[in-house]
Amino acid sequence: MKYFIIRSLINKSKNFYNTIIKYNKTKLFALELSIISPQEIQNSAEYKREDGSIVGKVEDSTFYDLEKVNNKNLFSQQIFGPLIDFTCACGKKLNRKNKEINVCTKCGIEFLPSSIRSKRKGYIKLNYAMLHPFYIDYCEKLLMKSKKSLHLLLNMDSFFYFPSYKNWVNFLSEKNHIYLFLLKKILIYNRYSYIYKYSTFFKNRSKFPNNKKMNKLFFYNALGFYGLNSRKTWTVLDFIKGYNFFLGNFSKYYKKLSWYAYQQKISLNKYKSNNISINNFIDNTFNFYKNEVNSLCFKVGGDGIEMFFLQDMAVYSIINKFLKLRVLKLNNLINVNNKYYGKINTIIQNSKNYQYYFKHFYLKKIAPVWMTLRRIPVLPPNLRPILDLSGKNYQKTASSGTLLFMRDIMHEGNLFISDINTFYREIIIHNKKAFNFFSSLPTLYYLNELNIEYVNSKLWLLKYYLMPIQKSITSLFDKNPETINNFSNKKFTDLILDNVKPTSILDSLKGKYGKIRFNLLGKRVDYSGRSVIISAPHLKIYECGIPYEMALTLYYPFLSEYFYKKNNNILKKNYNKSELVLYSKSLIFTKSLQSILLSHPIIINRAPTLHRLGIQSFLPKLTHSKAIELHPLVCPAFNADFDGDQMAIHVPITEIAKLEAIQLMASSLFVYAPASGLPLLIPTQDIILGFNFYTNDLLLKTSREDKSIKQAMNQGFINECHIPYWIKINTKDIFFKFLAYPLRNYIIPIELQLNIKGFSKIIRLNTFKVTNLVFDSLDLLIKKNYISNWLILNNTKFKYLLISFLQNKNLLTNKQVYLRTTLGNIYFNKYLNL
Amino acid sequence: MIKTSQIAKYIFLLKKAEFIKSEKKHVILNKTTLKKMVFILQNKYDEQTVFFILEKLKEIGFHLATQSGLSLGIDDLKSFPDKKKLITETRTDLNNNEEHFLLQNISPLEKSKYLITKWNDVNNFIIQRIKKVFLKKEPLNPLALMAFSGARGNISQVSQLIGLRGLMTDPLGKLVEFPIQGNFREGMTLTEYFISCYGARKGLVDTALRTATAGYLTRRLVYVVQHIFISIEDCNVTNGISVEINEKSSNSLIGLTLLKNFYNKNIFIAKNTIISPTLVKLLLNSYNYLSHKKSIVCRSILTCQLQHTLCQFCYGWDNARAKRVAIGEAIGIIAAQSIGEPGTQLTLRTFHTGGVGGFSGANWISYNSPFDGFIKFKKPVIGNILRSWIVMPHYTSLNLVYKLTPSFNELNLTLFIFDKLKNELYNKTLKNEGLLFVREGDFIKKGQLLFSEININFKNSNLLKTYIPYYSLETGLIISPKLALNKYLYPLWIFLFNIIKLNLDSLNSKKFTVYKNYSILEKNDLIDLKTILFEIHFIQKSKKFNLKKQEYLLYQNLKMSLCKSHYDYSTYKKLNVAFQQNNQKLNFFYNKKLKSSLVSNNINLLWTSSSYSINILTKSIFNIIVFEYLYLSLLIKNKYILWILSKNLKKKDKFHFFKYTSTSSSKIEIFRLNSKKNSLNIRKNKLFFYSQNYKKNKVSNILFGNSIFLKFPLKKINTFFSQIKQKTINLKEKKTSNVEGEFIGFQLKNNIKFWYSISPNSLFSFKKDNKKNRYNFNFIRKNSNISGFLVSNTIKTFTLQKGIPLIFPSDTIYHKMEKDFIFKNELLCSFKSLKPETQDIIQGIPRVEKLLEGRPLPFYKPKVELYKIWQFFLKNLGFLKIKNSLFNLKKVESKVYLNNFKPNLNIGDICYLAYFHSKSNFGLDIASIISNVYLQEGVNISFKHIELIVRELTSLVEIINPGDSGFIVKEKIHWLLIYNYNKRLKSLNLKEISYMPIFLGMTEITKKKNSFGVAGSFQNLREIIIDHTFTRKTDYLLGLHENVLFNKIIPAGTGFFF
Repeated sequence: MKYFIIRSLINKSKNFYNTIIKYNKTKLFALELSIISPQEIQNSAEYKREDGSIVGKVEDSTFYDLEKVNNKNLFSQQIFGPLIDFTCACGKKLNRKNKEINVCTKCGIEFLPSSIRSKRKGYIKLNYAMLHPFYIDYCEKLLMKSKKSLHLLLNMDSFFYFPSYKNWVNFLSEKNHIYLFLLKKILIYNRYSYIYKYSTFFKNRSKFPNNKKMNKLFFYNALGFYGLNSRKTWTVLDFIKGYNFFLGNFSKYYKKLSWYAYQQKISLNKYKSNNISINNFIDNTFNFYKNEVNSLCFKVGGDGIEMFFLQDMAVYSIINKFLKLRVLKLNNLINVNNKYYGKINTIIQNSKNYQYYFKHFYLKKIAPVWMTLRRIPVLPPNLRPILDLSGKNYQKTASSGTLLFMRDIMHEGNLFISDINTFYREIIIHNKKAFNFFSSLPTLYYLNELNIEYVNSKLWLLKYYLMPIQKSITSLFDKNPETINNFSNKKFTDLILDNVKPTSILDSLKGKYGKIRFNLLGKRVDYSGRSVIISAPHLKIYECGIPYEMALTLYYPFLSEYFYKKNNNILKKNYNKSELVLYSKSLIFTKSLQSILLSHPIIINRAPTLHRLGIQSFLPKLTHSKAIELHPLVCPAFNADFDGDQMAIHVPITEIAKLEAIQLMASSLFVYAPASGLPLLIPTQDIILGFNFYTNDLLLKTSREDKSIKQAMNQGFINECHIPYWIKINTKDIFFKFLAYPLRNYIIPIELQLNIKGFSKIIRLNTFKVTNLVFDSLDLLIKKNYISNWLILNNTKFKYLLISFLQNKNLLTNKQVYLRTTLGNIYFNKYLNL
Repeated sequence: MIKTSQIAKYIFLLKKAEFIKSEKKHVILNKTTLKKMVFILQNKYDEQTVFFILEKLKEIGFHLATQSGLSLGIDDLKSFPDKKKLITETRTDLNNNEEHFLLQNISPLEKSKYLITKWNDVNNFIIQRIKKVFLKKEPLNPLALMAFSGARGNISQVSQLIGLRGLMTDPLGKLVEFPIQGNFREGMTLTEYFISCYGARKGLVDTALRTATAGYLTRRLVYVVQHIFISIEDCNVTNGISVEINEKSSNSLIGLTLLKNFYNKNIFIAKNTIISPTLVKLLLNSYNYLSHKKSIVCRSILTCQLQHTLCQFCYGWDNARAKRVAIGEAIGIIAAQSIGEPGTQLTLRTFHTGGVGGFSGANWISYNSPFDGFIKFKKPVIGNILRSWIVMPHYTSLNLVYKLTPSFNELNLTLFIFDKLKNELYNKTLKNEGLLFVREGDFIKKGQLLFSEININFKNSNLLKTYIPYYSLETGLIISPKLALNKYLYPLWIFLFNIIKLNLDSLNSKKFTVYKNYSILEKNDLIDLKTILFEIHFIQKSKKFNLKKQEYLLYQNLKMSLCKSHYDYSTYKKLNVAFQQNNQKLNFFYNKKLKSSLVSNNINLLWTSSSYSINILTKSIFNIIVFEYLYLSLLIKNKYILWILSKNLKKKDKFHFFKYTSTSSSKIEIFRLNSKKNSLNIRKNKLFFYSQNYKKNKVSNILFGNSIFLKFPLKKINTFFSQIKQKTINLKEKKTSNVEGEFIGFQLKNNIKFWYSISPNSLFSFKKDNKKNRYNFNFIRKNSNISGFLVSNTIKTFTLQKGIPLIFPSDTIYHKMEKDFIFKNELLCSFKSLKPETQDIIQGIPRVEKLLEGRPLPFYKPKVELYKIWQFFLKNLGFLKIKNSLFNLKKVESKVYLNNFKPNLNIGDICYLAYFHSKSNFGLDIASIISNVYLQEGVNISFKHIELIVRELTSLVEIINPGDSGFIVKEKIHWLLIYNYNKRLKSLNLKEISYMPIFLGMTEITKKKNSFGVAGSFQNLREIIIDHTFTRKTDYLLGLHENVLFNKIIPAGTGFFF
């Protein structure tokens, strides 16, 4: 778990419990995710108690006998805290007067709240380094090894040989002169190594021309053949005399890196308290591993990879040294004839694909060795609970509030045990086994000279004891076979435990139902309800109706408060019968509810909440139906029908929430759609049908006069709605003012022409067609006050243009005029004027 | 609160305004009109009154609807009257098309294309007719009321009820070539029902799928843009985007803020004012009087200078409130929602049309003739001949079409249409290249396709080729005589195992003595449906007729002329012209001897049938003779070579051949052939094409003798066949023959035609000569399956192994070798055809998705385009040298405004400018494309939201040269960070960073984010954990998502001030 540790950048104190408290209090500013060293894992999990003992290391594999006094298992109270608040296993309770005693003298358990069991971590110490399954791909890329060799190593079919233990310790201690050392080592390796092809080159070295280009060629050939970080390339370099040609490029590179470092520091130093220099950082890591690396000289699996990384780290340390010199502008101090100057450059130059990572390793002080595991953090026990279904030991086994993880729990008899526990357990068991076995057989591993036949005969033991550890670790972190099967080598699937279905840590975090998306982003809410919706055209736009029973349950606390303030003890007296009383719908309750509802807006939500209009707030109104009543004009925003749709109700409680609901989410605010800016509150469906039906026109040529129109209007004959009529109307009437426009194009019977008076001039139009141009020009004339009004009359034979000049302004005031409309239109207008 | 009467007044005024616009006599309230009215009302009045009006409208609407008492019954669904007629017409048309297929005039692909287009046309026609009928005759039909008012339903749904249901797809996605002619009112047949079932099922499945894909799209969008909200008032940008002031662009102008003070003769507008609709009107009016400079410089989201957030001015106004945006508004999420929400309404489609899309109206503009008449060109036409899938059944046999290309001078082709009396009816000049479907002197019906132009936008796109598989319909042996040489129109044979015998004894009758000639065909010949097996001349046994000589006819020549070397057939003492295209030689034979040969580059055959086209050529060359019949002419790229077989009626025995080359030393060579009697036959019988002299006799030349010619107008053919069916004569009675058949006479003005059929499918054609008594008698087969391999050939019988000829385009790839067996439904070959024809037309969600994910789209590749724009600007700033940049300068320059442009710039500045330009131009382009996709479904989305997302997608920048900074080449970093780095580097006199813009997709950019919370909860948790742990990224909790995760107050909305 060491990579999931999210650490707050402000507080990095070792006392984890204190940090948690501070975390809650202080403002969280920024988060960082990184690989951390095994030392740091240990530091974060270890806890120094007041009696001086250090606690945190998990050693026992058992986890269901919790009542043992001095145990260090996965659920121990010593490490993780007491099961019951402020009580130890003996049954003692914290004495409040005597606060100084924090630890029970008998059982060694601290007096702490039991909630600490969901915060405090532990760790497992591995005796043999194992590879973290996430970084299988990257080992290959960063080490630049061939796939085959790495896979053989990981499957423990091949081994990394280190001649003697003493040399190894020297290797770590003398890292400043690492290259001299390395070169010696390399020669030793070559003696036993499997590659002899290139030896021909060394033998016949003198025959080749001593040309720079040729040397370069050889070097790159070696690179291509062995990979960048392999030792053989270095040996090649040594034999080449003209290695100085790399120098020019290097000077360029270092400049860039330094600049970036400078910039990055400026940005990061604001938030970072620790400012360890890189050399110190490297020293620390080496020191850790010096103590940690065990005596095995055949390195297998994760151990072997660790060795590779440590060697690389030595190279980086030298790179850093040079870089630092440059930053300090101590150019003169660098000896240009230094042997390894060029080599460093080549590493950087040829690792372009992974330069990005190398750069960050350097800048952010990450050692790639940490990709192999020496310590494994153990989650707090409440996050991987055991549940006893028999109910006897319920309180002891697990505290409440941890049911979130029920999904990962598997069944074992009466106990429900979280999967992760089984993995931890197996890691502990196998680790112990291996350690015990190998410590009893020291002779195998302290060989000074390599006897391959003997080793091969005993090699299976390594695989037998170390493989299960690797397997259980891979299945703990990332069990998913898809990611591992990507390798061409199918043997790699052996790294997973056989027949294991339970979920790993990555699986529990991943996907829609993982911890992040399911539990941290989506939250269940109190004070909410849900019901079918029906339309209620009688409401206002900002209102909605909620059923009586719903309102009672939602507003129960408010009701009780309401009565409490009034000193009315109806609810208190009849507390047992309160349901009966409440649902009797007596007047007191309805009235009091109504008065409460006046000051409480409600938030309504429809299920596919695709945009923000899916959640709106309304003022609730009590109804005695059993469904939520919704205004029909709001429906398009919700995309709601009344064919069985359901909606959810939420009640904002605090004053601020209420204010926000009214001021920001009220339905009357959503007039325009945020997507397009077009109006949202638009009459739809049946409303449009009504309009359309009544304004429709049959456009028949025949037309009637207004003999029976008043009767029709009064009686409301629908059949005659669409037939055009001629109406005689006073000019004073409103209708005329606004309905006069249809006159332009309609045919007026000749008899009616006589009735239209007041026009000073009548022009007969024979020759040209009456177009909009004519109208416009006439309108212009009106604007310029030449004419007061005009009309065009159509006869079957002729067209007449009637123009009234300014003198007859009184035309439209008080005279009767004929109009052509339909009855439907008249209805429509009549209704509008209601 | 205003008075109610005032509201009423306003509504009337609105109605009036609507009335004046539409020039209708009466305004019928609609969904669209109501929308407009409400919009205007909302702009005019305050909220209270608007709500009052809305409530009022609601009440009235419900009241009127209840009063109307509308109901929909089965009587209201009145079936479309002309439907039967239409369907019969199209059926006959398609039958003709199938005939063409059997005669191997068209390939199977062309056949199916034609079918699909035909039925689609019918469907569209019916929909239009339904509209007309309803609006004119029955405006009060409840169905029409619902559909046209916008209350419920659609026109397409109405057409399903009343009209045709049309073509459907099968589960594999192909179109079924069996259209559903029924509708829901009339009911469907069983097969129709089953075919349409698939569509119904697919509709249900698609809705389920669509919600999922649309949901995923919104999720991605939200993750991209979730952290953006408005933080400050002003970001102090100096650059902006210039927007033209048109009536078109007025909608996009609304809600933007001005960058600079804007002044004019009429108006002064201070900077940082938001452009409201009233201001737009003012601007439009002010520019009516000015001619120059019609653009305004505005701020835009693409150019805002903040990294994580936006400023108030750059965003403009909030669409929901029609005011300036409030500080703290979470714009990002609004943008993502408003793009993602209508996703469920969009279609989830990729069409797999076999070429219908390419030729459909979008890319081709077609002209149809408005009148009946004759065609005449003004100038000679230059072009190549193409095959096209458009078959005009009563027009050309070869369905060849001229492809016109602009020559050195611009193409100015003028078409005239004349009356019979040579009155000019119609003329049209064509300027773009395209396809010409008409020849000179052709008779044209009303509505016939004349010409189709290529759209200019379509032309620029690169046309790529794709393959379409073809599965064989029969089992058999494949034989193609020259598969390697297989080119244009050369048939491939599939031989079945049937053997057919034809007896010819039955032709002897009492009345006639028959002279048969069948020695033309030999063993092992391939016979397709066009070949005429033999010709018979016969004399009536009365003394009137005398046949002197046997005459032979070889119509195979006609086929030969279709580009293939068949000069083996010229065994008879006749004139043959053979072409051997493969060697690019043109050989001319006479009496088996090679008279002349000509090497040419690119021979295309051009058949002309009328005398007009000669004039075209003669004008420019010589005034030679006006030929009556022009048989053959060749068109070679630069040279015209004209082979003319002339017939002089007066001097029967002379033939003239002219050869003309239009090279600088223009020559005319004349071959004169000695007259022999054989040559006469050529004249009479070997007419390749019967001339179209409509003046003499309208229908005279319509003969099945030259079986591919169907020059009847359609209706007459129908009547013709009907007459045949009525009169049936059995030959049995008159002569002892084994075969039953029909013997029919059909009379036209001068000529009499007789039809004799051995089997109901095969036909003989008789033609009465003008010289009395003599009948030419051609044996052809029509609609019969008698085509194949001639096994043996005696005087009395033909024995054929049945075979099917197929033609494919020249570039096909064959998956079978010669002499392979092929089974039914086995893959035979795959056609190659141009991409716009067979393109999968991507619409709806997939199109939006592809655009925003940066995946290549046909016709638009966003990555490439962005790069191109960038290059263009680098070139423009003098930084890069590119020879040919495809960009239109004006188009790019118009969109961006630069405040401080200096001639001498550093590398960093140049990079910034180029990035700035390319991003803003590219963003606007993509915004327009996406909004168009939504507009097709009737959804309006303002540019803002799309621009915001594009801004985020183009925010990262790839480093080309890190200069003196510590970055690495090809590292992707936010542009503003680099901009600030460059400033510092410049101040320290160090080398600056140069970089280029990139467009990353939605998923890529979310993965690249600095916050672990966002990237980790999005996708690929494993990858992201590794990447973050290696690089140790810091998450400063800037977005909303992270703060929700870690239980903090979100920085947007009211939480911004906490």
